[in-house]
Amino acid sequence: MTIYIKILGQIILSFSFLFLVSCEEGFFVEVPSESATSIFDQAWNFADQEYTFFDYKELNWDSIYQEFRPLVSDDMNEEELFQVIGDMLFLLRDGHVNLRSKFDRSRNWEWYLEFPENFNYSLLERNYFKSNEQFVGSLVVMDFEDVGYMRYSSFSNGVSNDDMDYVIGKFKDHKGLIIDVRNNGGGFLSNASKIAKRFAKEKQRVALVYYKNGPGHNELEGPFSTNLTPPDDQLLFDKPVIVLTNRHSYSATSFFTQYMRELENVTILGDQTGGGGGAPAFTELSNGWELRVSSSVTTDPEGFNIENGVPPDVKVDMLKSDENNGKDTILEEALRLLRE
Amino acid sequence: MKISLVLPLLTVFLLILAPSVVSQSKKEIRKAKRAERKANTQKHRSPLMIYPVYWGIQDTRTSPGIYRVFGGGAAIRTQKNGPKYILEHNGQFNFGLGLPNFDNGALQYNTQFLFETYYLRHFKSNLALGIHGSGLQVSRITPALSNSSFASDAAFGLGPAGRWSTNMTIFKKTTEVSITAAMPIISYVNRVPEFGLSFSGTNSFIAPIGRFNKFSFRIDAKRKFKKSNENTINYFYRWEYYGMEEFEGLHNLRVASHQIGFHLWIKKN
Repeated sequence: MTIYIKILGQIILSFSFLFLVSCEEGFFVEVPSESATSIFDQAWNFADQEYTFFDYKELNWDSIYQEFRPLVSDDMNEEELFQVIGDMLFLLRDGHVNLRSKFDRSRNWEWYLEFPENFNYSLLERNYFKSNEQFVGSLVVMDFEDVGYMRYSSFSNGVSNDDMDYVIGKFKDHKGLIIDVRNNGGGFLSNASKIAKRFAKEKQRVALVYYKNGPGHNELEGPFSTNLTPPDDQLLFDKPVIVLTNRHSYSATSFFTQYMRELENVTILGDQTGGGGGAPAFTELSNGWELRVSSSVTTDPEGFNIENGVPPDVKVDMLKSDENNGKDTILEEALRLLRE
Repeated sequence: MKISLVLPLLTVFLLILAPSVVSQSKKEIRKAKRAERKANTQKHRSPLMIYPVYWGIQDTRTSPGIYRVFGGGAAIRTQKNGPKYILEHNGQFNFGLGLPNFDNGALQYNTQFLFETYYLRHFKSNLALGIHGSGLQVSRITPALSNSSFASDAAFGLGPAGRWSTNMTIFKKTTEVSITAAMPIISYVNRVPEFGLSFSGTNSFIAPIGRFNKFSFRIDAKRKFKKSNENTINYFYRWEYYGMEEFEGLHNLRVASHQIGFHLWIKKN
């Protein structure tokens, strides 16, 4: 028993020593305070160092600081502070810039709210699918007899090689395939490549990417090529393809649209995508709020920046009169083109 | 005639054979010394040991604060302790859960791999000096930060090391207490810093002391088992710190860790 007491004593002694020496904050640089002014400065600094589109959008971030910093005082409450920082970030006009707190998420969604909706899923369901659609993984698949249709509503939802093999196998003898990514707000880029490479005939460069590598607004490394390589062991689709887009096709969907636009048998139809060509980097502020800003730049192989969207090859808007008559103008035009 | 024969033979013996006899005896002396050293050399191996770890991390891109990481670790060590030198290898793995020191911060998962080798020559009776090589790989995963969820530091360093040891009585038992310190003077560093795009932000560079600073010291207290004079139990406390300035001061990484535990040294024949 005595021996156990001795061992216990030694363990307690050791832990006491551990506690005493664990105060090494002296080695650490000063932790910023959670005051309103400090939080504001942290948010402004992170955007200043990480955001990649100041010049592209002709924004003077220093002037914006001068405009908003006087609005912040340490006696304001956190909702007031959130509002000020949110208003400042709004000026970046970027769907990838958000401040998230436990009570709200700041955002600028003008990139689709100021444009025609160009999509009505209820209309598709009631007048085109009529309960004949198939759900293949996260894909909604419809056979229009001579034309195939595939809807992908979010790049955050996984799509497997088997799903794509099924869709391509099903429509391989059809006149063409419609890929509907309207109102797809984005998700994982890996899914964009996984789908797009099924339509490539050979290895092809489809985009260039630049990454932030320093605190200066234009300190970028790159370009790094994004290439599509057709897989050897999976089914490929070599018939005409039409991709349907609208302004709510954002982020990974813009990347996907850009990848597809480079392929020769693909037509982009509908409205310009919403953009979102910069992958967002995330940080935490010292009060626990999470901030993200775009931290890369994506262009097409010729250098066209897709931050504000990928333009369609054929611009078509949904007509209100068509919609009232149960018709999707954009889908109708795609069906017409493939049946020509 | 006899004398005339003896003298040349004696000359031949002295010039040719005698040195070889002397050389033979030197070799024997060396051989004996080697055998003696070998007899005095002790090889120990420490099987897998498990211990608690605490460490703190700060990366000041926007200075969210300090992550306090609580976890555990496991290690394997070997030691060869000769009359002239000590050769020691230490391999360990730590895992911990990181808690931020600010409200509503995201949880972090931390892993550390460390391999280190000490080669120390006995300088005085209780002091050994030599070199130390180490490889350290630390990964931090903060799932809530999406594209920025992964950060890592890998550092391979080489530098001086020293060990001071003495015998003292602790809890009425003779205990060999030693303090080992090491500090790489040049390191190869590979980093994926916090709060950037994890998939693109790898930086690699050779960093001398000043740019990448790493220090470690370990206090060991060894005492013999009752039943055996060969095997020992070893209580230890290890402190390690590393830090660097990077990306024009945006990443001022600071990491300090504490480990406490005990392990067994089992003598190898």
